[in-house]
Amino acid sequence: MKKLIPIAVAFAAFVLLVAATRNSNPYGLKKGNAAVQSISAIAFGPDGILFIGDSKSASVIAIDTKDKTPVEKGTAFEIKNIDQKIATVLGTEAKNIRIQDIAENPVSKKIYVAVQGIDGTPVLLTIEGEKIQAVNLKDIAHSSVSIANAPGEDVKDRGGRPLRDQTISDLNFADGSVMVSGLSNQEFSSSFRKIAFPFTDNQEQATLEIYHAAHGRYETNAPIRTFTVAELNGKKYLVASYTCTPLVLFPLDELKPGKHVKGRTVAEFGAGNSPIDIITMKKDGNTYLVMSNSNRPVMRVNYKNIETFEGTLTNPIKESYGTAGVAFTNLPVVNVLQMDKLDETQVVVLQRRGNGDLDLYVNRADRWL
Amino acid sequence: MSLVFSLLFCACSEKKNSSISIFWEDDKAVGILIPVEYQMNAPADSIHVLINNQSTKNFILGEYIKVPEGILFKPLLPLTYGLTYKVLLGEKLLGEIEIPIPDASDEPSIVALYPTSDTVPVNLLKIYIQFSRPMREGVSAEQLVLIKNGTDTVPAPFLDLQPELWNKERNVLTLWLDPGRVKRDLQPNNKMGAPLEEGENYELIIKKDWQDTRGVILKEAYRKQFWVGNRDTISPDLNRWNLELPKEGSSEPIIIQLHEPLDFILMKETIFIRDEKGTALSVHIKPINKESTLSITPSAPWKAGSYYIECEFRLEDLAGNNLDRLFDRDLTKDENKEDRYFKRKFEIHPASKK
Repeated sequence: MKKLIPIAVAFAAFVLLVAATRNSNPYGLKKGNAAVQSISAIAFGPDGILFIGDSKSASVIAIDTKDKTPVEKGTAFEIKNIDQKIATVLGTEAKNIRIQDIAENPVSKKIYVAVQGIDGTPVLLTIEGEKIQAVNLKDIAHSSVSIANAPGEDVKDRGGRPLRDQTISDLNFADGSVMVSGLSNQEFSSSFRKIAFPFTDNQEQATLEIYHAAHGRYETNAPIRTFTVAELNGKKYLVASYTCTPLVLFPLDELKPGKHVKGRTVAEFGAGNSPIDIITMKKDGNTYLVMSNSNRPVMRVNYKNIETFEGTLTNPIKESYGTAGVAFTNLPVVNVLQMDKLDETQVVVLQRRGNGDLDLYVNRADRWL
Repeated sequence: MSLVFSLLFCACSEKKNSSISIFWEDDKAVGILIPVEYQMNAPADSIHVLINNQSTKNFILGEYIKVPEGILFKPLLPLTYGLTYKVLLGEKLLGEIEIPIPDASDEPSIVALYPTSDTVPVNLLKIYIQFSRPMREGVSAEQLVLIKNGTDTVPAPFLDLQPELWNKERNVLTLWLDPGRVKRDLQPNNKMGAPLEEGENYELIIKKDWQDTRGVILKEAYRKQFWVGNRDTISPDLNRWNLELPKEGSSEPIIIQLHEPLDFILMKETIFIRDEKGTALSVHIKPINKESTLSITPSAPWKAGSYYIECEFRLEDLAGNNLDRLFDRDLTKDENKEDRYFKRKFEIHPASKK
């Protein structure tokens, strides 16, 4: 027995150690330089994990922000001339930086801002009140997955030639997977991939070609600009918007590797416009899609209207810059360049004001719903 | 990594052997070196750098690294040309340093604009601009003007994409003529018309004010004139191309007459020459004759035998029609072949054979 006790203790300690190791690193992340070369889009996953869409290295990088102290309600704030404030702490002027994306950590309610310098150098910052801090990407627990091969492309002998450039247009975490929409700078194509997280060495990625048929006749192979995942009639859908602003639905369970998936166009929100961000908000038992745009105001759509809209749009729009399909409401908010949900009642907004100022502020969602 | 310490001026009264200097990497000012004698044994975290003329103490974010020469401050972004920075030790001003504007003798310029042809189809889909240096992003809408018949400015001819589509080196920009307007029967096409009109003359002007990543503007404005011809509604067809084949032992190129200009960048990336076993040969692909002819030069002399030209489906003509489908495909009429690779066999004959 005397001998057994130390063995048992050692075994228990080992079990605890393994459990502790697993608990501290359940996503297979390794500490070190995350080697981020560019930041096109950011989105939070579980437990303070932030996904970075890096177009330059053609990869998605998961980093552990360790920012996971739960906060129930985000604090409202307004930072005027956010671009100037960020530029100052980066040692430059506002014209030399570009705010690529903003994301809110759903656990801590802290705001993360991806910025790019004039030479393309990426920087990840956090904003708390007026305090702007840098996230050190050179010494952080991380893992990454390559998206270098084009959708549907076999890994073939290419005679030493490189794979094409892909720009990540949007990135979201839903259904246990990172979903990435891409834009090629060579051909006008739509690429979308669903990558299970944690990432593994032999990553099976669903790479899809997604089409939506305009007016039931001319097939449009266009890139997705922004998307979200929503539940409609008890089924999960990818809700995507394209340039010229059609809103298209794809059943999530149909998105399988190598499949040619045709979406259902439920609305056209008007030409001469590009959608920027889509978020989902709830109020009084209703769920709303809220979308910001390049040349239109922020729009609101009740998901109930989408649920009851059967079929797909088939008739060309008669009126100039007209709209069709699911009813929507234009909100009295324009030039919203970035937008993310802070909590169930608040939205973080990056807006170019009428006087040219770029302001970052928290907006009460009930004003929009 | 080139390491250059540039000595500038120092606003301190005390006599020092060395000055606060800029730490360069390539042509970027990536840090400021504060020599040991400036620190007076103070801890590194009491040193701060900020932009001159800042009323508040907005210290620049970055790392303070201890090096044998002193403290190296590395900001998150390279320091900006033309700006002056202050170095403080606590409240005390240690010095000021200006990042010199680069020598303007190597101003950026336009190397090429594709398509190079002066006639384009009315449904032209994209234009590539190749610059001599990495350029500033996000300003193309301000820096490009499309003029019709020398008088009318075409409103918003290009798709407003943010971020813009640059290559990794940031010296090639892809511009799409608004595809919604190019496609038949889509709402923007019906209402706003195609961005280009058949039979009309256009001039694309790239303004001189476009800055490179250093802030240096273009050497001169660039103008490209073109005439708009018929709508292109035919996919490129590998089997219709004319091949001029060299003989065994020759290192001469295969010359392929394409009968129409194809996409400059895609041609170089999607076309392969494979031997009978399917191994890709190392070749140099050069689009010539305004992108309507291909010259494919082998890295070793040709051997007699059978080969294949293999082409990925995504190779496009100027209107975005690829080998597999038309850009503007009528679902009620066209068949989508869904082939990913297109092949055509050819023979390299022995030198003696006529």
